[in-house]
Amino acid sequence: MPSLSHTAAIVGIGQTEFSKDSGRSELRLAVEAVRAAVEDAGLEPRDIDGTVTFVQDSNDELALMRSLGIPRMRWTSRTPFGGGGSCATIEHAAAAVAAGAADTVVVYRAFNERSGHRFGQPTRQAAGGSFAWHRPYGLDTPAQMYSLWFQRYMHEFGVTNADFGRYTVVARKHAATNPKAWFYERPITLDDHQKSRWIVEPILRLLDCCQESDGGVACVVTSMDRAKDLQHPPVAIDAATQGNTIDSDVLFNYYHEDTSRFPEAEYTASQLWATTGLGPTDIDVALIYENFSPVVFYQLEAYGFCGRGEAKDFIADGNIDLDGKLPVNTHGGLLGEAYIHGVNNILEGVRQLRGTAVNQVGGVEHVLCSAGRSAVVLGKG
Amino acid sequence: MCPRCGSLEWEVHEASGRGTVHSWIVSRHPNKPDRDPRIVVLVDLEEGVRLVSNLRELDVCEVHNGMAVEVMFDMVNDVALPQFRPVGGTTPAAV
Repeated sequence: MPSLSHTAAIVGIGQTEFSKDSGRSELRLAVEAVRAAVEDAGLEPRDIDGTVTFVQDSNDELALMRSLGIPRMRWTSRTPFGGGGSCATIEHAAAAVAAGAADTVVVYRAFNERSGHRFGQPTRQAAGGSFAWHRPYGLDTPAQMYSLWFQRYMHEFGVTNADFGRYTVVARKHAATNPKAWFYERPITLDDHQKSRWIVEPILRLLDCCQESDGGVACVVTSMDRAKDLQHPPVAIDAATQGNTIDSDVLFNYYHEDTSRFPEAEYTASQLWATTGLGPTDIDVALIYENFSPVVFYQLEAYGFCGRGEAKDFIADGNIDLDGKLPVNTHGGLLGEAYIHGVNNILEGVRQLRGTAVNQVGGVEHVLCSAGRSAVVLGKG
Repeated sequence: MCPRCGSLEWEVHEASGRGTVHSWIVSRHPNKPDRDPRIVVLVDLEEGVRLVSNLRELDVCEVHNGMAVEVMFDMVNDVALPQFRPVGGTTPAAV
């Protein structure tokens, strides 16, 4: 069976600063990040012949070409499902390269998500589609929408908000030693977490919610053959996939029979393990998308890093710390570093494999980046 | 379209209006405080359908997963909005 495994690699990464008020346009953030990624790869903008970004991204591909001086482009694609699709960008880029549809693809995501349109505010989508079934009852924000899913998990396994807080403490500890993180040098205690205000009772406090951030990130994907001639050791895309299942919904994921599970992440996990021949114990670092702390719990269990209902003990026992069995979100995650819609997690995966992360884990061979409904395994080239 | 047979025909079935609470949250509007916090619930209807609604006529501390609830209707902006309340009420009828 044809496979994306090991045919493409990430060869460059770039980013802007992460802030609450960038003071410049989203397009400028995008081109700054892309230019930095291309330079990091040792390439020129003219070497780029493909792009991948989110359906939600405001930055037009043609505007990007004009600004960067990319003369011709033969591949553009976009991924759906917001941050849940953030790892699908790598799947698209790898597929384009593997198929010969593009030689060198840049993945980008840039926005003013704090100073511009804030995702955490009551949605503008008042009616239409699935919103019509949910909004009239008081599901106005993502925190409320997701919490109706999370509460069942808490009920099934006797999980408390303090259990979620133990994840946040770790994320903030990792961010505290990452100078690029918004919460650099600002760790928290569990007590701080428990004193933060309720956002959705009795599930989420303020410190369970990801940040709102301004910023841009980008990475460059090319074939493994070309990657070997570039300036950094290539980071191989060992596997990349999406996990879409029937009866799923991005914001209102209430309609699977058992809502204490994350079937989409279970599907991505089964595909990644089958493609790579790896298993949970082979992963050295996991970068896990967390718009809210509970999704880390669902994903740890979906990938088999621990048993069902055991994520709270797995975290409390120190397994996700830098010196633990499975260091998680070593840059601070979306709670601690910044919310660049999950693509900043992929950049941290690359740094961990290059050996250049600020919170570097020893002997990293395989990194999992999971956004629940899309995921990649990165490895040494 | 029916995902099993591909049929485009459909008809209305009246549900019993009884079900159980699958999950629940207390929703407070981030910008416009509600007079009372809204309890948002997922209800598993007896017929096997799951839907989002509100739980009414009880105090937040009385809500629990699995509790039996029944439908009632509230007119909101000319729309009959299905709402739920505990079966038999929460306080014994004081006759």
